[in-house]
Amino acid sequence: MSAILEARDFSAWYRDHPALCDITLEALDHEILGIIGPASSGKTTFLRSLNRLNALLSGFRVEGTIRFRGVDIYREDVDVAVLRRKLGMVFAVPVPLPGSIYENLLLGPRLNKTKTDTDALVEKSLRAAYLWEEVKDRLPQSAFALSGGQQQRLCLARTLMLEPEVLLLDEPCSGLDPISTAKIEEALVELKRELTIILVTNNVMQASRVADRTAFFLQGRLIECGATQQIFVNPREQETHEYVSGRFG
Amino acid sequence: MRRWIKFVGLAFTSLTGLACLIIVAMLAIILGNIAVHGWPRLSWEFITGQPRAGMTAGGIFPAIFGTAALVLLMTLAVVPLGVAAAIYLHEYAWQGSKLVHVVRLALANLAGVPAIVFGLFGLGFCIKFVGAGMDRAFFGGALAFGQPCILWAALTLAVLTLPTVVVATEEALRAVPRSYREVAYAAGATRWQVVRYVVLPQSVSGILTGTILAVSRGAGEVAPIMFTGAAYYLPYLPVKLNDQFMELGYHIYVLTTQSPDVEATKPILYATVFVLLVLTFALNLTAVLIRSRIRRRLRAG
Amino acid sequence: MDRPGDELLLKGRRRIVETLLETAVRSSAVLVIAALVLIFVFVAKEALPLLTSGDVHKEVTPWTMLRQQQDGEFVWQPVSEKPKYSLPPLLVGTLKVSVVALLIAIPLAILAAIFTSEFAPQQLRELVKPVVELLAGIPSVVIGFFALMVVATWLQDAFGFIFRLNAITAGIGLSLAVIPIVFTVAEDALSAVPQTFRDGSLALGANRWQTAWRVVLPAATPGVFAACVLGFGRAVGETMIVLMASGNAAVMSFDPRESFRSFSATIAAELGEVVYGSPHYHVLFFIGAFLFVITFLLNLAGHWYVGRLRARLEGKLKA
Repeated sequence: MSAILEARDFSAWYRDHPALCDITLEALDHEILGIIGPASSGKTTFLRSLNRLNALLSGFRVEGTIRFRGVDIYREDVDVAVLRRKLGMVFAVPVPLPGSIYENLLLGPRLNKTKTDTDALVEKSLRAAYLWEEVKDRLPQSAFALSGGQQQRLCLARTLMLEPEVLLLDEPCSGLDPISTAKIEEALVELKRELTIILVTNNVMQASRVADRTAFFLQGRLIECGATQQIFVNPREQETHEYVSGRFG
Repeated sequence: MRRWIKFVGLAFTSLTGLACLIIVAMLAIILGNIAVHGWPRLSWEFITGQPRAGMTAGGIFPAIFGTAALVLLMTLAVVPLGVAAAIYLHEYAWQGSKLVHVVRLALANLAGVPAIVFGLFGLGFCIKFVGAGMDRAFFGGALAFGQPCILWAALTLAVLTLPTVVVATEEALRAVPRSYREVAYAAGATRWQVVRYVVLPQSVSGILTGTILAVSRGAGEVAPIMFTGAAYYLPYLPVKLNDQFMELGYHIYVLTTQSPDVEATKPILYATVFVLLVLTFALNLTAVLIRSRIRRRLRAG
Repeated sequence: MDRPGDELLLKGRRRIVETLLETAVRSSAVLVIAALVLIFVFVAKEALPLLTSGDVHKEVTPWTMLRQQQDGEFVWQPVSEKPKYSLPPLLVGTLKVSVVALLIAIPLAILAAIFTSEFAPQQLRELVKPVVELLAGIPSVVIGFFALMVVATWLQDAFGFIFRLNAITAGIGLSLAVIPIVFTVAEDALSAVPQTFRDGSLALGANRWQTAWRVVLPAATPGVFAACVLGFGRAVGETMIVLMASGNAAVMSFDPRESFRSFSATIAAELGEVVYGSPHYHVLFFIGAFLFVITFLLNLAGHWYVGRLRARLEGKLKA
């Protein structure tokens, strides 16, 4: 499997405050890469650096490179909008936009003015997010009428409408009930066949369930990265061992 | 000792409550007095008819029409400009930048400029500079726009109400949750697309509030239009941009201070004041209601 | 050779559209600044001949305007055989009515603001604030009408003034226009004081009025002071109310029961009949420029004090 995303000596600062330090990490094609670590370890910062969403914050500075399919995404002439469609993001808190379920899903095609058959794509995305059966008769209803777990799956489907190549998920199941969590995890495992998935999670068990490879972040540094089995059963670093066994969190 | 403190406390609280009551009473007295004296004279003919018999009979339709036309022109100028400026300040500009600081300073000061100085601006800039220049360039020196007319009065009012629109629009933009914008950016939206598809649709009520407040202000201000286009009696309605116009507020001012027979014109005067008051009051009330509905919805989450 | 990542790179046309839109909104913001600058420039431009033109100086100079004109009296009589331009009567008139208005408006507005932010239940608060906004929405010409028609008569019946229209009548009308701004700024300042200040005081055993008087009000002082400054600015600049209810007599007198003339009312009353380009014309614009500068400085001062309030509250919180 080849690397679709590659970070090399990547560092980042919020004004003078360092957030990431010399991260060298790859995401391989069609895998689920889990990123674990305690709060403020830089997981979210790293994820947002992959689709340059951090550019929205003033005073954000980077060094090093991140390559997507060989292209340095921080180059001046990169179209950030296109980048963000190829690397779709799902946030920790479900954010349904005002409007119907159908209108929410149309966000991507509307922005890109794509001419694809939207109805077919809507069904495909909802099925992939394990939400089709529950909403197929309720598409014109307000998205706010859905439960928390349904809203998050809607956000997943909305992102899939972009037909991305990589899926970036930032603690997508925090605050969801176990059933919704299970549905989303199932959906991700299925989606692996078509895309690459990078999953930041606070829940160490989730990583062990779902991720093929796992990376452990601590205080802005990448401590260790390897096959999930190895990280959990036989970690090389002491800190990794302490974190996965719950010594600190 | 405790009882003394309690007494002082009660007195203090009552005093402040009394102050509130007095203010509310002041409002009630003005509204009541004008309503009581103005309402009897009101009739369909009053609103749709022309003034007659030296302003002692007839109606004030030309003044109503003039006010409406003036305010319409003003709105066409101020709303796009104000909304665009607010969008720049809130969506495009980097918040620490010098330009943002200066623009906000300019807005705050613009809001404090005396109304009569706006009138001087209208005279000195719009009429004597731009208007005269237009006459030289397009009309071969003939007097077309280098004189008081509804165009310049509307433009003067537009500058006066600009802060109102910008502030109300910014308030509306601020109310749109940051997460909505993030979702849109993450889906590949450009800055303009975020504004157009996510932010603006959610801000419509706020922008509407600002527009209504601006309209109410524009309909009520007299000093800026005294020398830029308002007239006491005209035999025609303003249909061209360089026409003069009759206007409710100006009509009230002239009738109050320069009427040859105060007692005879009093009924018409009171009725005119009543009409203007009802108009501005209704507009303000609508804006206040919309705004409190927005704020209540925000608090509910 | 086309590499798979090439489609990431920026297409020219979309960048142009985005840049155009950004330029359009930025220009709108710049226009705001331009408007303010243009106002000052063009008012000052018409006032300039007063300082520079020899022809104008034959009739009046900035220095003569400050001095007595005839028989040791300050007289403002631009429309007469020998025009006399003396500013002090107008200055006294402006200050007279402003003081009366502020004496009424400031106590009322600040006490009401204290009530609204410290003692009133939520429902009452949501009633008072809109009421004040509605008061602010009454056109000044309507207030002027009311002052001239109704208040003047009441006062004359009650006190028997010699002059029906005087600084007290106009001052009462003017206070109606000043109350909203003082109330709004003061109430904002008081509400900005964090709830923790009040909670701390109450926890130490103080009751609500002691908390308001000894803790909240002192903390919000810069903001309350700003409210007064901005109120003063409003009073000085107001035109219609004074124009209609002052009696328009440009006499030099400190007695509030006498008619007077203010700066802004002078401009409004005389600009209609003045000859374009005459010394009188330039003097009126000079007064306008003067008003602009005064209210500009008052506004700056007011906003500086609000900034001080914010800084002070944030500083205290950090500590």
